[in-house]
Amino acid sequence: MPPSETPIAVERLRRLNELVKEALALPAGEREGWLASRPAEDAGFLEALRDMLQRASTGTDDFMHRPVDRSVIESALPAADEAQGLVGPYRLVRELGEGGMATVWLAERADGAMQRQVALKLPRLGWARGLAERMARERDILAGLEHPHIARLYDAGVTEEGRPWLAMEFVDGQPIDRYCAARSAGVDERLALFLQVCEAVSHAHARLVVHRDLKPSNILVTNAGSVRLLDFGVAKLLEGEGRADTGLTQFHGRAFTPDYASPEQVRGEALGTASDVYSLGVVLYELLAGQRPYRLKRETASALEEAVLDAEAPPASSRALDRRQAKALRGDLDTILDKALRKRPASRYASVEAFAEDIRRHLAGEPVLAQPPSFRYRAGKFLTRHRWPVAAIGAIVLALTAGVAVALGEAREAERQRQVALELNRHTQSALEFVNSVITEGIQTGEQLTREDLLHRASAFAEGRRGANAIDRLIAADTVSSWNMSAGRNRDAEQILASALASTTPQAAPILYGNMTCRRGSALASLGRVDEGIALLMGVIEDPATTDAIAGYCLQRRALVARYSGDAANALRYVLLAKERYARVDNLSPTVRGLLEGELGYAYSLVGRPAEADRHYSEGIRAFREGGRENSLQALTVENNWGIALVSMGNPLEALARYDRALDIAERYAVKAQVPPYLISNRGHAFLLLARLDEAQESYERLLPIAERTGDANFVVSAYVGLAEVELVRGKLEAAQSRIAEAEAVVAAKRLLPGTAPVRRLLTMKIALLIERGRLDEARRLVDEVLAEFERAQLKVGALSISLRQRSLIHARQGRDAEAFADAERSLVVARETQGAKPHSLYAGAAWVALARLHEKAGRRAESRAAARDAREQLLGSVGESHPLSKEAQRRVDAAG
Amino acid sequence: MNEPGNPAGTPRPRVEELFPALYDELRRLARSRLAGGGRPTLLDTRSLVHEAYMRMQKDGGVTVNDREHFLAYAASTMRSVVIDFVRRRDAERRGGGAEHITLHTDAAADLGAQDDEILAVHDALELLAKVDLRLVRVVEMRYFAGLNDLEIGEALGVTDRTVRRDWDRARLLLAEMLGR
Repeated sequence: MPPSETPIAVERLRRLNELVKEALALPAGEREGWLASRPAEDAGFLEALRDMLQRASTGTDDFMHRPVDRSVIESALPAADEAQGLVGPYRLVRELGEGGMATVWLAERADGAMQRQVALKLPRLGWARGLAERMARERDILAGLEHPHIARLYDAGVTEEGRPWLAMEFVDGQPIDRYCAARSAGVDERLALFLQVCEAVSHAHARLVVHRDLKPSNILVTNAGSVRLLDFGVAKLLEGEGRADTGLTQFHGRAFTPDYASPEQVRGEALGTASDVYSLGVVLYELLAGQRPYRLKRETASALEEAVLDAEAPPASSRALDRRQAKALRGDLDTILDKALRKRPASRYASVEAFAEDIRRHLAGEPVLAQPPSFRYRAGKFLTRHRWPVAAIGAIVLALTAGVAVALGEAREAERQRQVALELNRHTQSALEFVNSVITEGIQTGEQLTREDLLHRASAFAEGRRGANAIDRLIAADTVSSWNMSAGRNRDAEQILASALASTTPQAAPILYGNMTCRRGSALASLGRVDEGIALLMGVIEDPATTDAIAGYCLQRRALVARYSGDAANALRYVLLAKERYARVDNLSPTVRGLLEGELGYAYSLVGRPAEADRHYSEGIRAFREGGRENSLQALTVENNWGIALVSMGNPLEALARYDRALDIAERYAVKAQVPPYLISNRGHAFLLLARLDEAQESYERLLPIAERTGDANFVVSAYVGLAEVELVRGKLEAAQSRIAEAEAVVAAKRLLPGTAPVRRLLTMKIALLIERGRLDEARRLVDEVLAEFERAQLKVGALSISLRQRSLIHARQGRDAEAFADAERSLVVARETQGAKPHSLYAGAAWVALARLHEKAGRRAESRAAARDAREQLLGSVGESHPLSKEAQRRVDAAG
Repeated sequence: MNEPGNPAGTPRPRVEELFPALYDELRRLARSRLAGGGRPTLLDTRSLVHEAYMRMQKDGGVTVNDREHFLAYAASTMRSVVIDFVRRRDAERRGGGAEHITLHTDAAADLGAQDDEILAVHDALELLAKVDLRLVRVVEMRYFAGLNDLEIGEALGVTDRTVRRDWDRARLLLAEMLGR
């Protein structure tokens, strides 16, 4: 049994390491005295320490005495005797290669009966026993396959020593990847070769044979350009073989070609033809993009498995080496590969034939049948593929409860507008004139206008500028479209931009033109026309004439599109690229720098790297401050988003400081003292986590009317749930119950989805109330549902830690101490994983308190105090000493041992 | 604009990226001794690591300055090579889960015992890595790659006495973790 890696085990080992280090530093004679003087808290280590010191002083045991012997490796390697010898009627010429369990030799008939050379497959020495049966199966399988693109079986037999052998067609060729590389084959040529591979695999499938080990080294291409599929060594007949031997395949997948293995193969599940479809997808991806869809870490089997299961394959086009190739891959081929590489077998092409058919359609210029991944699909894929990035989504989902992360895109619009104005000094006059005319001519004195009205009129004004010169028209359209986008009116913005761009040429005003094209691209993407939008953006980005400033702007826009599609990896990638381009721009405005860093913070929290997120948010705020823009609306959005990241790291105290700063800014700009609802909600949540009930209540009571007025049901539910929690913590169960009922009514009326955060928080409150009322069976059922939902969505966020703690409490109250303990430990693990580089987390502290209670209950006082000490440390740093949990932890530490 | 695979700027290839080549090289070297005929005279894995270094240097894969770094990394790769072989053999012995096969020579039994120790140490190192990474490096270099204390010290930038102390402590901790 490998040692378990629970945090407890890690903590224990850490302490043991410290102690033994201390002991070994002492002269041998003083160690006994040192042992005797250990304080009570080290009692649990004494026995181990005594053993270890004993062992250290004698040094006679042989554990790890000798380094790993070379024979360990070599005994697994084939003996060389066949190199001189004969196998059956064949004489071995030279070794061609080595598979996982067999070696393949070039051989020829020893009796000269036939001239032809064969590829002779032999099991490795020492493994022959287990292999005989498998080679017999390969022989049977090959005997049933007759296809021009499958290497033929000529002959098979067993040597006098009982070693089986197979004589197969010797293919004088190169692996398909090397063949293509050597010829610098074009995309279409690669596709044509790949179709030959599909034919061969399809032929096998039709005979119920799954290959299970498709990879370039098993796919040779002769000099004549003809494909031969090799090595059915781990192939399997679909019928007549149960699951029993998938361990073999799983094992082979791991030991030899994990890079091409399907997720189900890595998991060791039963395999169907869909597994081959996936492997073919990896092969094609590599052929087209020049690299595999993901890099695998091989250190351990579990790391490998995780990589294959979680790895996100970026579109092949994004990996292409040059622009031309990227262009060839974008669209159909990205879509085709995406479909072949789906993690769920049922979502892939139903057959290799269907896969091949789409490639043929693409080659013929017909529309392919695979659908580009929709947003919903991508979001779903994202949720199932990523455990970590999902923490990310978690951050957003969390934000939905507590408020919403402000889309930086909108905030940036205003700034970009400013930038354009500055950069285009010669156009400034024109822009001002336009704004002037909108305000002076468009609005009657004393007239009350809504923003909508103003936008309408401004848009009409811009349209009315047809007579003006091209630059003036563009500038008017630029200004108005930017206002429209800030107001979320993407359709209007897109139309204005499209018509303005159509009426001029890039040469007339290259900078404006590039900018506006990118804005149109992101408007299109927001309208669901993602591919068109991306194409526009990439067109500007990849254009060598594009200046760094515009490329930076467009790349940020591209990142936003990725983020809205749930594509966290690309969101991060493009912000980083934007930063690279911006780095070459002189005098970059502090606001652009601040937003860029804020955007990076957001992207890092999306990919589940809270430590980096924290660093970049802080960097962003510093940039604003240095430029004297710390009170800008842009700084507000970064402060707010940083707060959300901090809450999800378990640090509400720091989060509150960010929200307070954001509030401070918001109040400067507030019309009629109204600050954004998301900010009120976010602060309320932080207050709740800090157990500052009065302030939490005040926040949510302030939120409720605003949310009801604006009609955002998520905020209404958040407000009710927040108020319910306040009442519950105060012990007013009836009041809490009625708040919950109000929230439930909204959820039902507005049909809010069960997986969303407000609804989940509502359930969590219901469970808390049921526990308080002693209705434990009901609470148990509900918490199991919530946890199942987390499981389904693969969410790992602070909220999961809370739910696990709830279940631990239910177990404890119902007397299932072992289960209670296990859940408390799980809760701790999740908390640790979500806290990033922060030394302290409320969630970890709360989990330690739960553990301390359980130890206490079981009479393990020393452990209870140790847990309380950890709890105190975590809590003091995250919520401060006045928090009830901090006080409890302190009480438990102080309790006489 | 070109889209580099590494958006943060592309540093020169790191030693870590040599893994596949190094892995293959180590395996190839292990077998080439046999192909040349006769059993190897040296039984340690150290010669393999050194030979791999020399060959890869000749191919321009690594530069001389990387030597110390290389040895530490090669040891880690050696660990993968060893573990893969042992796991594979282990699975073979169990007939890949399909059937149970007993190898009935004494040599095989001896091998088995050592395989068990290697696998157990490998697993325990995963946990130890969370606590003290340097101890893991020392174990890899000394136990899996057979390097001596001086070489290890150079690779890690510490004295050989420190290496010796780390090794003792690592061995004690591993023995304790594995109940040996």
